[in-house]
Amino acid sequence: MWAFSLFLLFTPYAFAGEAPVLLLSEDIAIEEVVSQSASHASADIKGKGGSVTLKYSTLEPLSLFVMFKGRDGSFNTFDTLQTVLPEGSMQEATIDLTKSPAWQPVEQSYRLYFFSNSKTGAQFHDIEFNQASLITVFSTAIHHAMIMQPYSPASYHRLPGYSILGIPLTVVLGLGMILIVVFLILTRKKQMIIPVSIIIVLITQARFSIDVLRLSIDHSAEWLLHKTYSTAGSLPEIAQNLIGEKARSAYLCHTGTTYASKLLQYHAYPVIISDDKPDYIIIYKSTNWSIDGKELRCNEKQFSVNFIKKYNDGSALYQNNI
Amino acid sequence: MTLILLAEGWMVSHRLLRQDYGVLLELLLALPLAALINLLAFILLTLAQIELSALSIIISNLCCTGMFLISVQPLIKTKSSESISEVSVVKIPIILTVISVLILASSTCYAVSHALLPTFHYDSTTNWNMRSKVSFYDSAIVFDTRDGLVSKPNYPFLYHSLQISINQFSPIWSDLSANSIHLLLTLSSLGVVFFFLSRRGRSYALCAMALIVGIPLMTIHTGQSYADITLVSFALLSLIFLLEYRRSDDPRMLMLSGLFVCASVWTKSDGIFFCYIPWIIMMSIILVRKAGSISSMRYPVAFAILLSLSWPVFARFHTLSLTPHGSGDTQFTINTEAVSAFSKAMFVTGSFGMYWYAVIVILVVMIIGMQKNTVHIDRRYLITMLWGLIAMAGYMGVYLLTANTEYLIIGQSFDRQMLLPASLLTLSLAYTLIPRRL
Repeated sequence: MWAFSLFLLFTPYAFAGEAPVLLLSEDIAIEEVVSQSASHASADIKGKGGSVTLKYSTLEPLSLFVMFKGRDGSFNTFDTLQTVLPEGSMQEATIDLTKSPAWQPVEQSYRLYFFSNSKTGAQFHDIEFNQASLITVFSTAIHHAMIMQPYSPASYHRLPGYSILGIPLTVVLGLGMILIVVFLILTRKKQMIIPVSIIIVLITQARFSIDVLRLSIDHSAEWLLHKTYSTAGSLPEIAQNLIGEKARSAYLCHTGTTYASKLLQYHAYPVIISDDKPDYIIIYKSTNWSIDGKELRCNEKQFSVNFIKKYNDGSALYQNNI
Repeated sequence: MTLILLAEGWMVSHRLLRQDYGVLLELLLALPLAALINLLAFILLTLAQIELSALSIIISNLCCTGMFLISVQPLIKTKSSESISEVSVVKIPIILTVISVLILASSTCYAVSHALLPTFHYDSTTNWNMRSKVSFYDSAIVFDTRDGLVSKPNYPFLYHSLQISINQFSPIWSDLSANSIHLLLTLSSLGVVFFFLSRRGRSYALCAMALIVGIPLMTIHTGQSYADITLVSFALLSLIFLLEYRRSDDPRMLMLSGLFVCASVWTKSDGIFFCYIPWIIMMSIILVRKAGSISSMRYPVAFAILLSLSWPVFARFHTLSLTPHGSGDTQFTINTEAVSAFSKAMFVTGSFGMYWYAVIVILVVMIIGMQKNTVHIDRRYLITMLWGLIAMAGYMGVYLLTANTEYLIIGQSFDRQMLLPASLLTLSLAYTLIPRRL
């Protein structure tokens, strides 16, 4: 739980440098981090800077998620940064905030989530924002334009779009297009308005087409090499195994939205995903399960099981001894 | 099964067009027409309560193919169309052609790779592919939720019929086949559109196709498993044949336009409101304004109306709702949040990118230019702009003034439904505007 304690204050520095950060994607198994953590905590901070330096002490490495708070107080999952802070006393780690497309060179609010494998937790001595130079701001803008669009089960409904320094690129280019149109009207080149509009649309669509090409390669390679597919993980392969095992029903032990259950149900049908005397148990991104010999516990349910298979995304299939 | 479907579709297209437009067009039309024939076969089997099996599906498909061949009989004596090559080829800068090829190549790569990957998206696992799969194992189209497995059993079933047919001869459901047949349908339909657009030059056609397929959300949907891309494909087919009818006055083109508007009605609930009604409005205006005899139009228009109305009649017979969410879709409400959500979806997020900015600019320039005679347009095609505009206004009305507002605010269905007016407007503009060069 919310455990923070004071310890090892006087040992020398073991780490002082930039912590490698990742932009959160659907592939990062947050559930794994959560399920393995013995303690967790959160803190809201506010400041202006391209990076933030944390001075802390911890017995175990700390998983840290940095969420960027929007003007309406909301958080966007795909703007979140993830890093791991090394263990040690009086450590100093610098987190590059500019890696997130939500970063802006102005004062911003952040929520930090910490997860630790140690119940004793960690102690923070200082938090300091480091100013971003003009060159950093400029290079960050270019970096943001290169960030790939996230792909998730919600992608068929709405695409978030590109952001540069926290500003939606569509708005910037849209206003730019309007200015160009006004310029063409003032310079009596009205016949150029339609061609220029089409050219701008094609160029922006070409930018997106680079992303879809990368998605095609990434997803195909992932499926061919590991039999996993983005957020779906190994669920389609697990479903094939259930059909192969001639299962009648299966129980999905999972923490999260109903997506995994619906996806597995489709791929496994006519096998029914149910908690009523299931033939098989699937452990998939669950934060609340354990196994002791043949006794498997998931949430409030207990099963006597035989292990069948472990999958590349960390999922596992068990046969229920009814 | 694919070969049987392609053969029956080709027989009808060949009988109707008699190679006047070339073998390629007849081949490209094979699957879209087969999808409609196959649907009629499923309607007959469902009404007769005959179990869906390989044998029953093939026999009913053969019967329906025969019915189609008889139905097109009154039109086969139509005079041959004028040469399909157009004199005025639009010059496109090479760089734009290169960009268009890049967009189309990467979209095709995405479409093929993702259609071959397992079904991934939520609504497909709860409705589109799921209803097909449950119906496949039940050997009948399902019209109830089957204990929560199917979320929208009240939808029309062309999409499902095609997937079920293609899975015959296989003891278990193939997700790969189900998505691949719809990919083939999309590619065939877009191929037909490209075929006609290329009369203005291949580069012009590539550019117009890139503008349609390159809409970011459209590219994503080419990965299949939702019916939005199927609806857009049929609507584009219907529109391109209507445009060709306006050009050539060939009633066979009108017949094909009517057949594909019927296919869109049977694909998704939106079809009747945003494809059939705009098509009827356009037809009414064309009929009223037509100089000379309208006798050549009577048969194809009447055929399309009767065939399209078979869905509401069928729905009534099976007490199915014509709208996706029942009474909530017609309940009048005003939600001020909807206006900002609408602006965000159209002009801020990435679903359409710069698309709507450009469409608005082009429409304004076109309207002003028409009045001042500074923009050259082909007035024959102006009427077809109505379809895209009515569909756009219709969706805006539904999402701004009914309980559907919540789906706009949470970003669930508005964006993908706006793909229909977006693609229709692009195609109409590609015909209506007559630039000498871009």
